[in-house]
Amino acid sequence: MSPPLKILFAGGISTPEITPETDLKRLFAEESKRSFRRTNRYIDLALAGVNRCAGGVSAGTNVYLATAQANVADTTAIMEEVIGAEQDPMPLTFINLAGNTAGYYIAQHLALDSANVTLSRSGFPFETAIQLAALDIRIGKSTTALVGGVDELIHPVSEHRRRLGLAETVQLGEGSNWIYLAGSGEGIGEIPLLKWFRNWSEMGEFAEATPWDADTALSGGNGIQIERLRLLGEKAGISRRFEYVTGAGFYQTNFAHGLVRFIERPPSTSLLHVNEDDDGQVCLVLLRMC
Amino acid sequence: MPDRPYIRGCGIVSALGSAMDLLADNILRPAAPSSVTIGDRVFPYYRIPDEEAEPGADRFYRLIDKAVDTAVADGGLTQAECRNMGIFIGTSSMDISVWEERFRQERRVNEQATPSLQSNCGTIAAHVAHRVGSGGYQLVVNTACTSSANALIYAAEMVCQGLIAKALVVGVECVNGVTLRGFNSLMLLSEDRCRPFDEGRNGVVLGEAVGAVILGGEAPKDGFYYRGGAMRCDPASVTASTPEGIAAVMRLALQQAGVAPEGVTAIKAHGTSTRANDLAEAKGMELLFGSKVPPFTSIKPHIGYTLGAGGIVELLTMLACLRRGFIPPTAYFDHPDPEIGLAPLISDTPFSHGNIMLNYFGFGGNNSSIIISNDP
Repeated sequence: MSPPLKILFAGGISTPEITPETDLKRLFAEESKRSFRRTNRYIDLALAGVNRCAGGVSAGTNVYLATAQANVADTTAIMEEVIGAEQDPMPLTFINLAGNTAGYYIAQHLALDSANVTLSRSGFPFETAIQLAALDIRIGKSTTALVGGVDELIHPVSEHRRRLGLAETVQLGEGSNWIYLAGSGEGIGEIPLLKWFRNWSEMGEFAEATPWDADTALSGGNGIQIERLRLLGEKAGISRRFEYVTGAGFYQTNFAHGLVRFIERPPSTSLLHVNEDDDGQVCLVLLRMC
Repeated sequence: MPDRPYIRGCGIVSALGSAMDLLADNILRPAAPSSVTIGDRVFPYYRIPDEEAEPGADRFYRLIDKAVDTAVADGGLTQAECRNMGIFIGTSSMDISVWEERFRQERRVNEQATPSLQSNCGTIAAHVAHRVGSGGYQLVVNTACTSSANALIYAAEMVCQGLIAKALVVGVECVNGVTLRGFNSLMLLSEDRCRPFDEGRNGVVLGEAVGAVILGGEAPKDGFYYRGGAMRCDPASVTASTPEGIAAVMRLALQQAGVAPEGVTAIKAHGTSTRANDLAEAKGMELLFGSKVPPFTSIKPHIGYTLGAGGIVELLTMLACLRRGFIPPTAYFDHPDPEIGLAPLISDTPFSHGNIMLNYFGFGGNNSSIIISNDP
């Protein structure tokens, strides 16, 4: 990606700030002075997060909403209704089930009428959203982009954990975290690198051969074991760590949370983030604070 | 554009036919769809015949495999080409049919069973990547009825920019209870026919289909390529598109394609057969084209409203006809609607070359427009 994408703002909301008692609809209304009556909790989550990144969003901004589970709470509830009880869902509940309805309410909240994409990719939903935004900016389809990761936690947690195929010990979380990107301008940070590799060793060779800034921290996404990260750090000459998964809990778009937390309180000037999917593909993202 | 994204391999599984030649043959012989029962009411539904894939939880993925395998073979791709190919999926209901069927099975043995829904939104792309042996880029787009149209736009952009050499774009929608019951609750289902732009139109007739297309590589014999496209969000209404929003996305698509409004040979309208959509679409076309609206048609009376799959499925259906040398007619159009003031094509119209606009509009305000062409 060249020139580097500039990050103009960042913000969001995540576990542990969100607790089972958090009324997201009310929170969004208090912070934005707006309210949408007909939304579900997933949409409220998306709105509450994006609103914290929405200062100064310009007309013509594209929206890229990455998610792994989308409206999973309503989907399971409607499936119970339709298959279990053989009843029609309420019309509004069905409309809110459409994967892009959260994006629609974001567009309405921010008065945006440009491209608005809800997207996913196993293992790398948020990375994929950044890449699409970069592509559109590069080819001139937009100059600015709101890029977010939104996933909700549903209860009972034990059932959701089973659904995700995770061990009983894995802490789950949820969040809606956003960055506002531009192709140029004064940013608080920039993304000079987003690169995919076929496997860990290919990525390792690249990391070893690349001269990283001295004050770079290394972080790993879901499932990257500490020992593996330590070995990568040795290869790349990066000893500092930035850990976000423990506090945020597991959800596939929690890298968005990690990025936003880093930007809010940067412990170093750069962050190198590594993530891996179930097939062994690896993605590296470099964030540099300005 | 550094690389022209030619449309090379095509694969389809649908109620209209499961081969490109069949689509062109059958579209001139409109056949009544099969049906689905929702509660105590029976609705027409364009269902893929059981001989394409037996019912069951894995029917969804077997149908995808069939379309994908056909497209890869039709495109003449080598294993090496597949290895680096990008995978792009567009769907609105994802693989919900799989989890519904498993839930039904679990309920038979355990009344307390709850839906498991163990996949994620990226699962379909991962499945297709395994199927074709791709270790390349993956993307799943979920923008309601514009999903696979938008997947195609991104695939084409990546080919144009040289980020990938080839892309496999799949649109998929399979029959499921949530979609049927949901549309029923919205009172959007027709109990007789899909009649786009007709005065007597009274709702949509849903359908299921899988379409797969390969973009990139050498020019095919027919010369068709993706020329440009655009997507926008119209925040005016979550369920209905506005004429202004429709005109805006068509205008942007033409700009992207470098085509003037008078350069459009024909339009594949979204044409759902609902009162509001068809009216808004006609007014949107008039806003952009004025009194010179190009000939337009709707594919949905032939294949059903395939929702998120429609972007690719209707592209393939249109392409099958264009290759055969005609623009297909809109079936079941009998009575012009004075409020609309425009009429779609009612007989097949000769085609040799030109720019074809394909329009798609969806819930959540998503509007998309694509231009394909065989002009040199």
